[in-house]
Amino acid sequence: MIKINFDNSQPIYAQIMDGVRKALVRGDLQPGDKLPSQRDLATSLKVNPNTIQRAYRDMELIGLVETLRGQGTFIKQEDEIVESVRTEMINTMVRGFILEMKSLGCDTATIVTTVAHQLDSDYSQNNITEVDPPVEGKGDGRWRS
Amino acid sequence: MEKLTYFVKADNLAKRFPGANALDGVSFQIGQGEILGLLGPNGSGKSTLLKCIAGLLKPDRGRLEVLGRFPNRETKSQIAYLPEIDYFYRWMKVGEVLKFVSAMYGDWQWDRAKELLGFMNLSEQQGISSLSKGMRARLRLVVAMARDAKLVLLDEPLSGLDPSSRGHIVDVILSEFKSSEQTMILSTHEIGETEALFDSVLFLEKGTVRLMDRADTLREQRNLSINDLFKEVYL
Amino acid sequence: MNSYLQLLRKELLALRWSMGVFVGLTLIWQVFVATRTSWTAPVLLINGLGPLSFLPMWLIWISFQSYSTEWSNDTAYLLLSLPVKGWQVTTTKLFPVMIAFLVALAVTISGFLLLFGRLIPVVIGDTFAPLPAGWYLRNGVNLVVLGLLAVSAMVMLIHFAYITSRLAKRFRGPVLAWILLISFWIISRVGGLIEPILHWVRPLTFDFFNINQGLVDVYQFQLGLSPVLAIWLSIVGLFLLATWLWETQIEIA
Repeated sequence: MIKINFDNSQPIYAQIMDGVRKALVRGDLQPGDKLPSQRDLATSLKVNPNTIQRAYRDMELIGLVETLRGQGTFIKQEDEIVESVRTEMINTMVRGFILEMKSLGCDTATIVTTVAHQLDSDYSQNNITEVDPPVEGKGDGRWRS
Repeated sequence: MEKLTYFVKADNLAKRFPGANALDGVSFQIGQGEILGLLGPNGSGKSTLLKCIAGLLKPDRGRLEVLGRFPNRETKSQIAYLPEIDYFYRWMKVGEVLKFVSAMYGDWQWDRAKELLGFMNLSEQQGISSLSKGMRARLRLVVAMARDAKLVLLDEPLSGLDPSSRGHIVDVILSEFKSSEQTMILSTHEIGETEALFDSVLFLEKGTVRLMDRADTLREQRNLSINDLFKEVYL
Repeated sequence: MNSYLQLLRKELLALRWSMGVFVGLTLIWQVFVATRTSWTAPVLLINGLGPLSFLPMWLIWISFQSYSTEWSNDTAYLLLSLPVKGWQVTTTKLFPVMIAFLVALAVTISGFLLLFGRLIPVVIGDTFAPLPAGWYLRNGVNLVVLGLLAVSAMVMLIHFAYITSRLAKRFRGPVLAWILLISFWIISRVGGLIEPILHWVRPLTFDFFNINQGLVDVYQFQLGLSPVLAIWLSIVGLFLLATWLWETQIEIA
């Protein structure tokens, strides 16, 4: 359900939060769904349980999940949550992209035209539908060596 | 019982062996529920530090508090120590080893020991001398994790093992570690699959602390995996 | 309690091979001697008991081994990490050696009586015939008690010397020899000090006999135990010191 291809150069708790966000945006998780127990997730992702705990706590702080005493942790039962997470992720990604482009000296017009051009050619020629690398789907908790 | 702030607290710890300083002024603290990665190349003092905590070596200098006191018989009863080398009596069978060790500790859990034994593909009938290196390493982990020890010390638990044994061992560490009651120190000189196990890491070099921080903090600050940081620190 | 039994079991089982070899060699030697047709009866008798002369050496060897193999096989890592009291380790290494002594003694004597018993009257004539069974029993018990005191003292000294020598970071062999010498001096000093307060201990009575013009003349010999016990107790003191050192000072490397 929650599949993460870890990049060990980034904080692991943040990648777990991103993993939950992606699963939500993709529809693998729905609002109101129960998240795996912290111990189960720690074992399946092979990650320290304290890290999982921190990720869950931070997701609770930002209002993504809620913990019901004795029942577990659930994605918040709010219809707009998927949309807001998607918007947030897209914004973050695009903001990062723009920053990178600007650091290469591109102005706004160049960025817009380059993106438009790439979208045209890539979609028609290579039929790219997924942004993620194909290994993403494996997510069996194994580390890249 | 009073609440312990630190499970292990070392202050300027030093240990000398003939011809070498194994530890040369090591200070660090580790709190409850943490998994500390004790990292460093061979000969950096990792094993010596763990042996001091386990009560197998006496520091020459400095202060060492383990579970609130200087290591003694009392602390040994609450520590599960897994040494780097095979420490079983070779004439025993696996079942005899478990019986022997279980008699020594009040926190031994037989049902967990049997479950772990099965998971590790070991049987009580096997003789220690007939086990392969990997099988003996698995048995050492069974012995260490079948207890509710407050402090678990694992010295190079994955070193020189086949991938299947390594996977089994990482799985058991993760499934059996109880962060609400236990604290773990795991030493290794090759990070690989243990990267995500650590809350904090301590880099030792020639018996001194080179760097110690929370693993995720280091990743955030340096944009490097602990594995890459390790290479950077020691090159 | 369970921990003590497990430690004891371990030491007993660790001794079984050495025990088997000693007992086996003893019996083989006795059978070898018994089948010599050209040897005279006195030579047969003396050689039949020959293995006993190796007994002290063997006991010293297995006592020493009971510690040194813990290090050579790396099992010291296990033994020293256990939360057991020092005396649990030292006494479980002491008692099996005493048991080994008694077993080896019993096997050698039984084998001797079985194979050479018929030769005894041939060699010493009818001298012993008129002596009552109690004579054999009392002297036998006395000898075994003295033997146990001597063997336990010897083994405890080995324990002390070995454990103390482990405190040295190098030259452990010479250190061990030096400690043995020093401990003889300590024992004589301490033994001399405590001997006077042991005068109340009853002496050990041995029965002897003398053949005087065909008549058997039985008389008694009394061995004062106070010096023996004084020395033994000083060695026990060193053993307790070793026990304390084991629990608090001994390191893995």
